[in-house]
Amino acid sequence: MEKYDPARTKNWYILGDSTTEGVHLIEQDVNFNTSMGGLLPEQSQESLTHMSHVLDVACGPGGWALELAQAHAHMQVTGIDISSNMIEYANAQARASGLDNARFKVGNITEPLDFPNESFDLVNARHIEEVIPVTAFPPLFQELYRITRRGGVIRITGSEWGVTNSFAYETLMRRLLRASRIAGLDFSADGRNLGITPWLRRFLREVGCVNIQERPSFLDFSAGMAQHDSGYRDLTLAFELMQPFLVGVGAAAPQEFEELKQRLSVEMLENSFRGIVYTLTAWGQKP
Amino acid sequence: MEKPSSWRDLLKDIIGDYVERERIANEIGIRSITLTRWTTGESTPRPQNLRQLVHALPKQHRDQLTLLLEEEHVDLTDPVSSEPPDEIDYQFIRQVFEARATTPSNLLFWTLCRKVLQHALRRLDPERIGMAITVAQCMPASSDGKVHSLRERMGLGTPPWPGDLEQHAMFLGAESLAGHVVTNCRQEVINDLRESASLLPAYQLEHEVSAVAHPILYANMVAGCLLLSSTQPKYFLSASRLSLIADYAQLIALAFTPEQFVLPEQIELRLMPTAEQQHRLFVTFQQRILEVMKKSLNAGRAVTRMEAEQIVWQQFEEELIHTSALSRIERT
Repeated sequence: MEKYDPARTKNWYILGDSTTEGVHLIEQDVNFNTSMGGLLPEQSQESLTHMSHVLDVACGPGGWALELAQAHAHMQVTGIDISSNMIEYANAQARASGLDNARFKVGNITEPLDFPNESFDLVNARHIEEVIPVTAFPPLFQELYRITRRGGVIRITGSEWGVTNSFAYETLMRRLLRASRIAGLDFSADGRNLGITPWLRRFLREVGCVNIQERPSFLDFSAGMAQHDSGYRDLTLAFELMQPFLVGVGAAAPQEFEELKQRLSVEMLENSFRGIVYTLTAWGQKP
Repeated sequence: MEKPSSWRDLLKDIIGDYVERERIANEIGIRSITLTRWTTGESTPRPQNLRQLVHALPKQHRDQLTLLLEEEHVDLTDPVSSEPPDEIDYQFIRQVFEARATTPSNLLFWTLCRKVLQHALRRLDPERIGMAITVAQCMPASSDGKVHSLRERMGLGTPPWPGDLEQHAMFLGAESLAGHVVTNCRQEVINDLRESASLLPAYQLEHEVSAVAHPILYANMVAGCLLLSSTQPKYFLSASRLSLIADYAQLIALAFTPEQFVLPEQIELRLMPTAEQQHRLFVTFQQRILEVMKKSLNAGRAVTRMEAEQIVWQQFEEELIHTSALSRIERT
């Protein structure tokens, strides 16, 4: 797997852009959509009918954007992502479905966006805390505001990485948070959590959005819950794929990492296993 | 007959014939009620559907429909550039080859199968009228050198089936369509499972009306099959759809290692118990894996979760074959 090197690739994403990650993100989207109650559960039916141009930033392999285009034929959905692999993946899926209203192109969201002012009725960003450094957030939100139409909506979703009763999971998360801090991806004061969720409302307010609202959701992957198996698979893959990141920034030794993954496999099989990931969506209107 | 004044009127005339309506709906991959809704203006087809509609009509209607669509300035062009009707897009095939070349071996099967299944499901059921696609793999040969069953290893679906079919996976034996296809190494279709006329063996799963299976082959050996179920009758009648399914099975074959293929003469499938009987055993799956992993850890030679799963699946296979044989003895 490719070495984690954002200075060279301009790609900060901690799980890389391999085909495995493309497939994994499509599956993860399904899990998050389920736990969040749908694609845009907080938007009224009436407001959806008025949204014709939608942008999904850092869209990955296009899971959310493709589902939205499928569900709302009147919408023109555009996705951008820094990875040409992910964009090829998304375009292949769009062609396979015959979706004429979904298109994807390569774009770096840490730079000015290649769209005219006031192009979109809805601009959506999910889990970009794993994709760009903390310092890139304020200029990105200025750009999102610029390309949103008056009366349009900017919507952002972020997650904290969960609380469990597994020793291995918590240890791996500590290593991950340390690595995120070194890489400049951590919002928290002391590195005990990612700390993105309290910032979402503020980013929207600072660029001038009004009518800002928030909606929490959670994904329960405890033993016996419907999302336990998919949660296990998701985590197994995520830890496999983040090894170059953790080892690359010096936050974990390969031997210790292997032992923790093995221990996690056992702990997640126990009937007593409990784990929840918390997610917050915030959205505001451009006046 | 009065000359139709719009493409909707023309379509209404054509689908007045029930058989033709069913045929066209099947060809496009939509419900026949959707065709009716297009004629009344209740819904409007996507450009992709209109292109498929033009393609599905007999020549004389095709030209007339194209003319009417042009008169009404209906846009048939596709900004995304659509795929050839009966082929897999080369761009996608190239992505599969690249993934095969660059994915670590421990992630290869999952990555390639999942990628191909995601694409196949979007391609073969674009309107989501209900499809399940499953990869069934030969279990390792037993001590007698023979393969006695297949296991559904991975599957994706559109409603009414769940998105991920792993929870519904089961063992398949000589009593199944998949078993028949793997034994004979050739594609087989059942157009309507509700009719008893088929000579092919098959379960009828909940929601399943038609089914097709295509063997996964390499060097004249077989590793399993790709199994597709539809909620619609005769969904796999179309030659172009069957050709696509054969191509997807060829791509899935790339996910297997050469050692996972066996000679056809090694296939000696047994009868497997019903889905209900199997799922009663599967509830112990996680507990059994945990036991295997803990036991191996205590013995100082830790096995991975994947290795533990393989051990438990083989235990299950043996137990199920035994159960099935016992119940046959009891019946006789």
